[in-house]
Amino acid sequence: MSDFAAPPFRQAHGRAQSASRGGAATRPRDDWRLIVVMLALLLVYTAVGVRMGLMALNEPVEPQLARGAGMATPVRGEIVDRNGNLLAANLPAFSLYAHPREIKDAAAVARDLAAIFPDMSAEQLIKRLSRGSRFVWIKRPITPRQRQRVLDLGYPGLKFGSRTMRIYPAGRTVAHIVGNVRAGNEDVRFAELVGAGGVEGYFDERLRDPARLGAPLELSIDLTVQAALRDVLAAGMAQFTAKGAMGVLMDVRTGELLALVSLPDFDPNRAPEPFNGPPEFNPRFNRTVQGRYELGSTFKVLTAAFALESGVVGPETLIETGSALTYGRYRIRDMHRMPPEMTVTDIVVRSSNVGAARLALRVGTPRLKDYFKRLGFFEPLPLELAEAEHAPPLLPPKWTDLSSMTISFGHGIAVSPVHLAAAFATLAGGGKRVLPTLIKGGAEPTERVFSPETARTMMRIIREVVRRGTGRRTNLPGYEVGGKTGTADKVRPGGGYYKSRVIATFASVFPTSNPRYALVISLDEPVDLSGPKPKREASRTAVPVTAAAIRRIAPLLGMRPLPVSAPAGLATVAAGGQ
Amino acid sequence: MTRLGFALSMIAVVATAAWAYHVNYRTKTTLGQVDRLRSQIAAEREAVEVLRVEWAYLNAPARLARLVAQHNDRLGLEPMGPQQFDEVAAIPFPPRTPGPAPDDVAPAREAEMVVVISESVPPVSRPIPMPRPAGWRSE
Repeated sequence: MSDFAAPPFRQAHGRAQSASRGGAATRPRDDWRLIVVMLALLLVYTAVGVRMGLMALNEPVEPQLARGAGMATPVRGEIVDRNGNLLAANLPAFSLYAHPREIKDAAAVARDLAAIFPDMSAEQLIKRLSRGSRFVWIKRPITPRQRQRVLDLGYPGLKFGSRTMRIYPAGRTVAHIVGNVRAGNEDVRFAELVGAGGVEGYFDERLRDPARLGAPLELSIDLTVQAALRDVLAAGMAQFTAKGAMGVLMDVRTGELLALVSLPDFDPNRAPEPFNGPPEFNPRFNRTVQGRYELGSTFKVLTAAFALESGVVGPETLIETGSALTYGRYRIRDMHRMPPEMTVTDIVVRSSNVGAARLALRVGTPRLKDYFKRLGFFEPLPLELAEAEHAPPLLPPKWTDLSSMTISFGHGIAVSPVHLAAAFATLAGGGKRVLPTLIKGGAEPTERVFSPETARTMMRIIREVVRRGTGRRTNLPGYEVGGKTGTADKVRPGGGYYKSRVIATFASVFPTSNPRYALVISLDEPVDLSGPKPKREASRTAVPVTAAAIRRIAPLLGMRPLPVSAPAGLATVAAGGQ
Repeated sequence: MTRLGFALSMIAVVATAAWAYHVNYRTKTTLGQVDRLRSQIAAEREAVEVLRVEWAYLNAPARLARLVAQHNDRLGLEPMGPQQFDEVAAIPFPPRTPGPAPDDVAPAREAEMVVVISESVPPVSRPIPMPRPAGWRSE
């Protein structure tokens, strides 16, 4: 058989087959086999080809989240004041950690790091870096600049994680309001920020809620007014060598706090420093909310309002004030000699303890208690600060008639200055209970405590205090300030009262004809040394500070003084009307 | 005819493949660009964030007050006080010259203002403020 027989192999083969078996019946079976083989090969080669084509066209890409989209969303909501000024924001920062095993010369690293971070000592760092562990934190958070300086050192084994730093651009001015944060769960890449105090603490969940990260939390505070009030209080504190000062400015229509200052204060951008001493002198202690003080004669305004409201007296009813009031073995007296009888108005204007106590007795203890309860003096402040709920007012354990009498002039009950401001705002706003709030907008008061009539009368009476009583120094032309002083001896920790340590308070409302703002200013242990004898009364301390505060604040609030009288030498001629 | 059809479809296949290849790579380039832009946007946003914080810090009232106190010998600023408010009525207007008087008062009447006229105008001893109220015509 020659090779030439090969091409017609099939035929030959077929022929041979047919020759041998004698028939064309087997040929279709052959074709079928061939087709099957061909199809199989085709399939395999197609599969290989398609796969190759796909591999050539599409490189595999790891599935990933939209890169970069999540980077700029803040990890914690911002806090702004009522005008949109930033009070709390986030800054990208870094954390510094080390793998000590990769560090060759721990002493040199420690020395150079200590030069960058002045608050860390080289010895401490050496100890930490030579411990032989695989991982140690060095410092967190650090600023981008510090990171650059560490990078410039060029040591191996020093690594960075990303962090978000909470920053308070307004610093001390709003320290007690915003509070601060601490690091929660953390690892190398990420740290949780947890609110620890102030608004940050109270609204922790809302600030961390991913759905609301984009919308800043708007406070009712006005940063400019807050800064001005802080300035004035700091100056007053220095002038009267006071240990502390507090100021509360409230919108009487909504209960919004426009300013809330407690001095001394602290820098919220720094880590808390250890403080040994009485807790109420810690700069972190918010006096306006956590502090509870006997606020003295300012309470006479409330007593008089309760008496008017209950209908037992009118503003001109005469009350006996000439002699001391004896109750059991206690005697209630006035500091100065008072006329034998005074009107209710004069009891407030001239600040008679005896008169106030008699008013309280006329109202009666159960009713008096009820009024205080309705004003919210029995519960912690409903304020949006983490500290507020832990500072309920201090009430007498057993409220007797004697308690009513002392409470009528502000002793035997200790409340926060914000409580007092809310009570004054309630009177100023027309008698419905004003709930203090730190959130922009506030709420329309609904719950009636005093009738509008009582509220109006009380405004007239506290205006009298400023016109001819102890508040004369706040009689700023055009602002119609009304208010009441209170000088209360401080409570000695062991019991009893200090002789020459007082809390001087001035609670005021302006303008009294159409009240807009309530302002409570208190000084802790002030003393006026300008005269021959040291003076501690509120009329010489808290009142001038309030006058300075209103002079600064009212223009900032856009309040123009009412024209007092036509300027001298000018005659007013109506032109235009008839 | 079959051959022509075959050839045409082969050409079509090759052309389509080439087109798909091209589109695929263009898409990938674009996706890369999108990615780059996204991270650029994120970086810009972060920068904006930092600048906003810096702005807030630089404009903090306490800081501004400190700066003003430092440079107040040249600035001469003082806090705004109630004395800086006044009534339009209290501003002395220029004395009325004997002339077309009714015309002078007309704009004031329109605005229903209270105009204060100096009772005894001294012979002009000091410059009287000349800026005029809006709508004031002298003719």
